[in-house]
Amino acid sequence: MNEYLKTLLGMVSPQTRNVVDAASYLSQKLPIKTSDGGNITGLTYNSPTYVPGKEWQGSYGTVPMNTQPAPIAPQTQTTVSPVTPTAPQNAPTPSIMSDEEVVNLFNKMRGTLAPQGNSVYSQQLGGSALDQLKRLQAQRADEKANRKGLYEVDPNMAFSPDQIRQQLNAADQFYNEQLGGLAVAAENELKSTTSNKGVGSLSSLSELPTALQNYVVKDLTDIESTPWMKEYIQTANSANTFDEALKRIKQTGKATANDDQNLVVLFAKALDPDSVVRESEFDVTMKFGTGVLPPALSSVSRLFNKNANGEYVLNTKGTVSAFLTDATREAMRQSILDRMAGRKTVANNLVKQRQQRAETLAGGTDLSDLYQGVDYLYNVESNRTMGAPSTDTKIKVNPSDPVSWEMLGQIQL
Amino acid sequence: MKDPTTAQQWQTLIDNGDPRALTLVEGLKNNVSISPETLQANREIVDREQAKYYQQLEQRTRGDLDAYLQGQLRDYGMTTEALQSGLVSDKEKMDDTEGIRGTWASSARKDRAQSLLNQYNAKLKDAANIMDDNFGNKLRDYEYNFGANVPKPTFQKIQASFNGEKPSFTQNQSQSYNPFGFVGRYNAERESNKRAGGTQNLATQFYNPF
Repeated sequence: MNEYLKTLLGMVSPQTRNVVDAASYLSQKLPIKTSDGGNITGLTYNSPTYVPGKEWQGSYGTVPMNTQPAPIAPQTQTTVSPVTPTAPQNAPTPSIMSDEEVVNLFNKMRGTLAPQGNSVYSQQLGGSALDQLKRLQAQRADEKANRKGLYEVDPNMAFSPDQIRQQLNAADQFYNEQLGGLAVAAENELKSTTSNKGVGSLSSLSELPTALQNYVVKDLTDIESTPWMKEYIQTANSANTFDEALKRIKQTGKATANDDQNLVVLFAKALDPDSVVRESEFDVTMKFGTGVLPPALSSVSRLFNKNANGEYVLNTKGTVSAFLTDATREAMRQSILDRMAGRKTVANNLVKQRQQRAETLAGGTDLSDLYQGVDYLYNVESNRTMGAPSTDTKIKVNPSDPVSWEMLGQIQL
Repeated sequence: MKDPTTAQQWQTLIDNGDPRALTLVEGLKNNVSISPETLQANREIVDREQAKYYQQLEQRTRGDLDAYLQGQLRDYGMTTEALQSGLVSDKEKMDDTEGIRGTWASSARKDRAQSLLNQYNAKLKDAANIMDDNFGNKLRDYEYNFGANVPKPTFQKIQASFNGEKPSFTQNQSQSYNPFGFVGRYNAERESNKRAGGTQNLATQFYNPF
């Protein structure tokens, strides 16, 4: 039993527990006629219909026999509505809370947010679904091995083998249903934690009550869907892709129009992550994009023609050379990084704020391994000078490869 | 506590002695999944559904048994009455015959009278033994089916003798049925249904015990 449950138990003083006996309360609500001879001993109930040793006191022959037993009194149906128990001392104050509200409150206290479930274990054992699954498996094994609980078979009742099987099968069926439900919940729990590994490891998650686990998992998922975080993720993706493109240009020492087109699109996406870069956006970016692009390239859309399908294809009849200079590309990159830095601060503050809120709910538990911030999304290589042209201008050509020679002729230096 | 509002609400329920809250906490305190009261409540629900069937089964069987026992007692009574009157009548006839024949003082007359008495006592004993056997068989069957709450009828065993020259009859009450302590197979069947059905009800009954 974890600390959470201990706290809950500690709240109930012994005196308070004795105010109303649970059995007497239930006996008022349910027709358990202990006065007829039945009694409750642990999980064993002795039926009033079987009274060993009770002898029939009638006599045949001279004394008229009563062969017409008294008619069966109609049983009152059990109601599920709450009743006010009649405790002679310290009479409880009738609560205005409904039964469902009481159970939900209990579940909440137990750290379980499964108000619509039908498992008693989720309300009585608490903890994560995996923990409950393990406990329930152990409980079942214990009960089955020791013939207690639901697996109790009263040897004094002279049950037939079929009847014993009937009872054991019922217990099996009950536990299978409960374990099955918990297994599904545990599997979902594991899937949920696995799907959020990008946000951080979940080592501290297992220490939290189920309610808080669910909250944290949902919170981490929500963070990724916030507009600020989505903008930052998109900007970081653009920055990463931009860097990869520049790295390739640097390695080959040459850029094509396709390369520059990609850079402009990435640049536009970094400026406005939610936008779709169409021709007009492309031109606008080229004309006014943060002032880093040369005016002479303001109408680069001429490089592309729209085909019959409405798609833009490179105009192979015109120039196909790159239209950005190295300095321009570096300026674009810096502009992206500047824009990303601001969004990164906002995103990190957002994560920090959520972390603090979750830690407050968790009673001060350190959840920094769950709320790791967004630094991992983009690693800045500070020493890299992306825009500098490669000093290695020699093109490696394999003399025995005619294709390489052919390609070499198309390269415009 | 993480949620002061929830904790306060719960504390208020406990302080007010709300039985629903106390029941839930009681199950928690015992660290059991199913409280005995809740399990019993589910069993009772099932038992109520089958109660009338078993009650009527027992009533019908008991009615049959009672009718059988009554018939046996009636037949036994008629048999023993006939035997008693037969002995009286046969003894009177024998005395008349012995007087007419002039053998009244014969030593063999007493032997003949004793032989007559023995014949009737054997018949009375046979009738009583048949009663014992029939009662025992039926009552054992009933006890095996419905438990030790079995009727224990008795009857009068009759023995004849001569008081002087007149037949007289003494009565001794038969032994009552000695139960084996059977549970009763229908009781076991009903209890087994009750327990298994109660367990099966748990899955749907348990979430909200109120």
